[in-house]
Amino acid sequence: MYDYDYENEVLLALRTFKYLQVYEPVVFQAMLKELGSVDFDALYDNMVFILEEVFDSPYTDPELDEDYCYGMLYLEHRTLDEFLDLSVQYCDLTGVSPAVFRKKLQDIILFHVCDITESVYDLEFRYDDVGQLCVPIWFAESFDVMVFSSGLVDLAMYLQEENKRLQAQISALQSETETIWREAA
Amino acid sequence: MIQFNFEQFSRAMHSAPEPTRIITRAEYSEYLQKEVFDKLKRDEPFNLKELDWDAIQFCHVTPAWYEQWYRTAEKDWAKGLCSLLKRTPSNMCKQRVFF
Repeated sequence: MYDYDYENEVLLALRTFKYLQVYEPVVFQAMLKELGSVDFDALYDNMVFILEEVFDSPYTDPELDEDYCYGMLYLEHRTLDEFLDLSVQYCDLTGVSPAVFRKKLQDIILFHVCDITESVYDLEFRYDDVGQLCVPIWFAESFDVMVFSSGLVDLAMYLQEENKRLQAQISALQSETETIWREAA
Repeated sequence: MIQFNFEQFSRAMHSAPEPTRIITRAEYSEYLQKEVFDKLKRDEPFNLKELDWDAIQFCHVTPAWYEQWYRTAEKDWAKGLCSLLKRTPSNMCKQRVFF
């Protein structure tokens, strides 16, 4: 489309920046200050740094890892926590089991992070005492930081939309409940 | 005892939300061509700060193959679901069990 050998990689990097501009403006401004003028190599080298900033992920140096793993990061993001918080509210109102939403979230993560990026060797879903989710992800040898970061961006955007939908459903259920109580009184 | 309720299942299926489309169809941008790719082709760096980010939309920074890749992954998930359902006891005994 743009007649450049590495245009896909550059587009995916710019896509991540566009996501930051729209959804994480503070991080976006910090990135612009930090990076400024870049060529293709600089874009590639800095993508891991961007992932660390956005997804709260202390990144392990690939060389430090063993076996078939190329490296790892801990995926934590506010959209994941928002989804779980909203799902608890929804379950309180409807009686649905929270396990349903946990499974749904796991499927969403598997779809966007594993199937789309084809960069993952293994991952785990860990919940802490207060129900917050942390996903350690071990990279496969086919790990490509550009595709992987774009997959995470898609995951975050999908969850933003899903959270809006869930919030609207909760509001509707709450107003319905209030109406029933008012009529009963 | 838990029982399968077809009416509830059917209602849930009909009330399922429209799929959320987050992948936009790729579109060519003259601005990106001039400000980014022409410079990269000449081995020159481009400045992220100087780019007009409001002029760049998600469709401009989506590679052409990206949407197709998502469709393939979606189809694979649907196939996986079909395969899973085929292995359930009700289908294996080839008679109506639930409804």
